[in-house]
Amino acid sequence: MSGPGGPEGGGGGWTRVFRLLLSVYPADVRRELGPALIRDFRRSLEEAGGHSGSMGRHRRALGELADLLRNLPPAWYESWKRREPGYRRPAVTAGAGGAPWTGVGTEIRHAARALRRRPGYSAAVILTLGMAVGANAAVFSLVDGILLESLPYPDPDALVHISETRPDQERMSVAYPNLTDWREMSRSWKGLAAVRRGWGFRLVDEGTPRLTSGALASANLPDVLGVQPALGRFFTEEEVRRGDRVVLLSHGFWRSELGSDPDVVGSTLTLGDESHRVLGIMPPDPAFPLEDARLVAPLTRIGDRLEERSQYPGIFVIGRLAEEVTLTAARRDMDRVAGLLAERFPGTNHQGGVHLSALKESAVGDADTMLLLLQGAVALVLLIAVANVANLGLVRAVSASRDAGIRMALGARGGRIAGPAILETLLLGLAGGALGLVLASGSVEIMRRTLQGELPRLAAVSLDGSVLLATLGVVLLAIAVAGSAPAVRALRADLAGTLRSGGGRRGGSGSTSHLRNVLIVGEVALTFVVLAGAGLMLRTTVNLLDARLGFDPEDVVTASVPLGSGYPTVESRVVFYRQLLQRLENTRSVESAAGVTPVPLGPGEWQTMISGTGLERVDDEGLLTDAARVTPSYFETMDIPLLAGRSFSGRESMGDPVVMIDETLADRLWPDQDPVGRSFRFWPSADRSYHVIGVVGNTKIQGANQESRTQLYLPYTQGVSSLNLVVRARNDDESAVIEDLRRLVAEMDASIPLTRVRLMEEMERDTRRAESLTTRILIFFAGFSLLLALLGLYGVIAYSVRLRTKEIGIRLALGARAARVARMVLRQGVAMIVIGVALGLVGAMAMTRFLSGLLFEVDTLDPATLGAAAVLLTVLGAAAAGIPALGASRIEPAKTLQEE
Amino acid sequence: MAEESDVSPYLPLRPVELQILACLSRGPLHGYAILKETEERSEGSAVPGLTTLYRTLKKLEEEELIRDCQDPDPRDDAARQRRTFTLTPLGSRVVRAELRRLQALTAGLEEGPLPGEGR
Repeated sequence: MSGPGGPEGGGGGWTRVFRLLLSVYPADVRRELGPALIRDFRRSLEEAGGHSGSMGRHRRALGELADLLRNLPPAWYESWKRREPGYRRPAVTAGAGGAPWTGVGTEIRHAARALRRRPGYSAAVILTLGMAVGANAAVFSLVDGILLESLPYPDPDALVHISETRPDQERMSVAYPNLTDWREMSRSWKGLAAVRRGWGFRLVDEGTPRLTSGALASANLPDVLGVQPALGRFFTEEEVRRGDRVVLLSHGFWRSELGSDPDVVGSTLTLGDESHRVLGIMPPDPAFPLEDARLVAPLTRIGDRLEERSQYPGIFVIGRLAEEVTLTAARRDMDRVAGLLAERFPGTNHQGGVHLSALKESAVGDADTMLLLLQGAVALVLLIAVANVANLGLVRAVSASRDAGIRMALGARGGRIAGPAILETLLLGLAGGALGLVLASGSVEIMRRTLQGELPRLAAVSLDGSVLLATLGVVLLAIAVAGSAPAVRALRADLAGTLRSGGGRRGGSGSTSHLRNVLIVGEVALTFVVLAGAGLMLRTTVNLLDARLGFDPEDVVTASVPLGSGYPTVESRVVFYRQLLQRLENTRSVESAAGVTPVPLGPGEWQTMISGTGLERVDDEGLLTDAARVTPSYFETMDIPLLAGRSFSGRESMGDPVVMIDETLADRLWPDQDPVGRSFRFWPSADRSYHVIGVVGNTKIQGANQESRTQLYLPYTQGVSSLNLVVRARNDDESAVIEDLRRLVAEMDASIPLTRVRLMEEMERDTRRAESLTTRILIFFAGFSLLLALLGLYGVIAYSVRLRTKEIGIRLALGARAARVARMVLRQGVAMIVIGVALGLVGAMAMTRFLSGLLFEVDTLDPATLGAAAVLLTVLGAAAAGIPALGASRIEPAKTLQEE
Repeated sequence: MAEESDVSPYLPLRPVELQILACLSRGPLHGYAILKETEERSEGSAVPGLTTLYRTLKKLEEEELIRDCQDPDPRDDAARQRRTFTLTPLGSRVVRAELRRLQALTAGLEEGPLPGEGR
């Protein structure tokens, strides 16, 4: 071959061979190095040919071909290795986040470092999650301890609460003779025990009398419940039958009053005016039904009323199911027994039935509605918090997507990009969860201390294993949901688009913005639901405040004046009370004073049965009604209007069969007729007719949120044992009244204690406690949700404005008015709010029916409340969107165009 | 020294790598020019093949010891194909460290003239 041809010529044959060999190389190497290799190969041959002629050229070509061959295996090896995940690409070092996987510890440290570099974001997420998780844990600890945990007795599911029923009364206490018959006639029980809770004992301690609350029980109570006294023993049937003066002390009483002195067993205690032998100490941490009893004594203390089948002295019956007997079978059995008793005793037991329920239900009472409601609300709050965290994560994922794009271009696989994102979310979630648990444990402590009396079974509430497990589950779920959106976004980083448009600035694809908007709409909707719930409860609370009790508890002091054995006859007691009331009326601080038993809004209850005999409108089974003994000035003192007839004179003797009734009762018995002068009978005096001398206005003695019941009144002179005073203070000075009261009673008889001194207003507030508590908590949740939703809304709109800064700048530069720009941004925000509120409205309509048990005089779909919630949310939301909108209108076009 | 831990992963350099880095330590060059210079300095005895050269350049670029110091006009194909490389600060440190290492290695051999040396 002779001299060189053109610049590309001469080596044509060799080049073809070179190309052929090159084609065996991996595609990526061919692509990258091929053009340069071929070009330089030719050039090299040229030069070699110029230097050393064709031999030189051939030598050079062969040399280069050999080199090409020599590099073939390592090139293939490298190419193959590059395709492995985690391939060590030395160029891409730590910092861009695409570092090689160097072990869990390092990865965690990287993630933690990344989070530390964004303190604002990390703090926002941890706080949001922490508060939401903490609230959930706290509420769940309430639910777990109060609703879910069993009573601390052996085999607690076998314990049943049995109450009597009448057609118009769902659950009543039990007449003791009925209980005796049940024991004989029913085979379903290992044992039936009776308890009378809330019994006030007059404890005389070194001469000073003190009212101590306790309970009365049948001798078999420890056997039925399955717990024995911690020290000493319980009383026996014998002792009860004989009427022995024996008592047991609660563990708390023993500890606080007697310094846990073990010698107290066998010693004596003065109760009433008699010496009682202390038989034993009850076990610590008592549960329902003895949780408030400081003393426990035999049931026979109730007295003669125990023997009467028509009397209901507040006895509570607990039964333990016999082996292999189910609750359903026991129900059938007891229905049978009740039927037999109704036949045998048509006077008292006519249409009498029984109601059986798990003892735990009675322990829980009405708390279940409220607690489940709160758990639902707090779950919504968690959803809102998670949505906010997801939104924050999405924003961050978008700004990191440029990094992701580069990493993917350099060969990192999906796992390498999503990995750090997932780890960060995990760390944040765990930190948030930990914060939540700290907050929850603090809250539980506070709740246990402040909610005594508002919620039952608080002793069982704690952050125990089940609560912690549930919280862990919640945290993991929150992490999964909140982290999935950003992680998915990171994985689907749009490579070319991201790199070309500069990634972070353009803020990602439309689908991300769409997702963020959807999250915000969801948050707004959920916030609306919580707001609606809080609003309805607020209205309930207000309604209860305004509700007509039928009497005026303001400025009224009540106190109990139990006369002891020093006043054995009714007459002696009447004389005492009459004198006391007279003195009170003459006291300057007192506007008016009266006596009543039982006291309205108080714990006591007295019900009796009006006999249907001789009455057209009352069925044979009779009419259940509330009853009270009153002094003549009662109605005046309590501001209850006298509608017809007259009040008692105060001189009625035992034989005078006079009675006063309320409006509703008058209407029930003789509608559209004048009731004064008419008569009816009621238990226990079935043979005597009482005639009506006066009619007064209706009252709700159980509190505003109870249904109305009928009421009849009897003169106190005919049989009072212990009268409660109701004293209206002049000039709003209740403390002066209390002082004067104490003084007067002490002057008249120093041995008589003045007990249960309370302001009636407080007692009235107590009846609204459950609603009040629920309202307070819901308002707190609503506020928190609102804050989160508004922050989320603000964040999304502000971010969107930042993304569109260039676009807005251009518009403004082209002459658009700032106001129009602001309106455009605001419209976006308002659109999300409106859609959110609309969805929330639908949601609220579905969910508020769970509130119906707690509402008072408010419909679950009350338009005023829902409307107010909608307006509030819209206005606040518009404000939250308005701030960035305002910012948008203030963009300086010149500056933004420069920056771009 | 901090420098040592910085560069030690890269040492020892392969002969081709050292050649390339040493060339570039005198200024930026494109691939073929590096070849020519190496040829010159070694008097033709240690000239790498093209493929080896380019693969090594690629590797050194990935290891961030050298970099492409041009911003090629995307419209100029010819210019785009001819990439010019320069040492990075890391690359400078590495080549200096390698030379020091080699010096240390050969230090004890200084006694007396070596065949072919010192005339």
